Amino acid sequence: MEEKIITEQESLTIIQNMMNKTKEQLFDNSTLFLLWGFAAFICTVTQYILLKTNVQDSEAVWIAMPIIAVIHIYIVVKKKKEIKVQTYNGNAISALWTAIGFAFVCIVFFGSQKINILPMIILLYAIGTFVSGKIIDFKPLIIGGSICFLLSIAIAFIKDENQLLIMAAAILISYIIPGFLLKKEFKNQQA
Amino acid sequence: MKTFTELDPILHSQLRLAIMSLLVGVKEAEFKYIQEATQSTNGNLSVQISKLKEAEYIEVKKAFENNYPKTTCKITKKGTKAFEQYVKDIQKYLNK
Repeated sequence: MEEKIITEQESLTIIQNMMNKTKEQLFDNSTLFLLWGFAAFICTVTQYILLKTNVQDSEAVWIAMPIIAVIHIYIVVKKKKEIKVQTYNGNAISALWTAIGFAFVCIVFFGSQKINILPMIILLYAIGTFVSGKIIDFKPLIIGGSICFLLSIAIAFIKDENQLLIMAAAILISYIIPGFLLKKEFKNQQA
Repeated sequence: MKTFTELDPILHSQLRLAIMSLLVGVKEAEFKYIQEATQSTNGNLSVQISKLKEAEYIEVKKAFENNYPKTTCKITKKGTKAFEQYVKDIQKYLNK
């Protein structure tokens, strides 16, 4: 692009073209969705199997979560170096999930007081995925989040270890499926 | 009625307008990103960024990352207002 006198019509074209370029900046958050999705899904299903086979201290599988948090931080730090532009949408999503991350840590303490935390966890999945979907205008996340709101109610009517099956369904719908679709969408955009 | 010459001369330039149009939609952007998006040369972009900075339309942060210089640009409130006014003026001109 060179320096030259432009007409008013050309000005509008430049403004439109440049604004469209920033609009196209869809962040590839799919890696983080898939990382947490698969980790939580595997832990949930493993705990279900352990409970069904009467293994004690089945909740110990969740010890894997801090390791996932470390991998998450590593990915984010690495990505931050590659990112050349910071969008308002990217910042909003980042702030949302940081807040939800803090909420998960708080909820772990409720669990130690023998309070059923699964409905709360599914509610947080619902809020995170629904709001993220709205921010980037991505329907699979909006649908996944909406279904999770319903699952958080459904789980209250289900007993014992079968709650974990609802939890696994929530993770599949709100993290894993939208995560794969987001990755596909991002690849299509880059092509 | 605004005439052609009454448009903000700082913004009524191909590359400076492109830089501002890009920055108005993001929180901040690196020099390299702006260069790729506007398809401009290193030297020309540096000159136009300096002009926008002098007019206080953008803020320029210079830092080092892994021993490489990293320049980041961000639109200021004054820059946003000037850009909005420019768009209004253009619309008035085209609607006349």
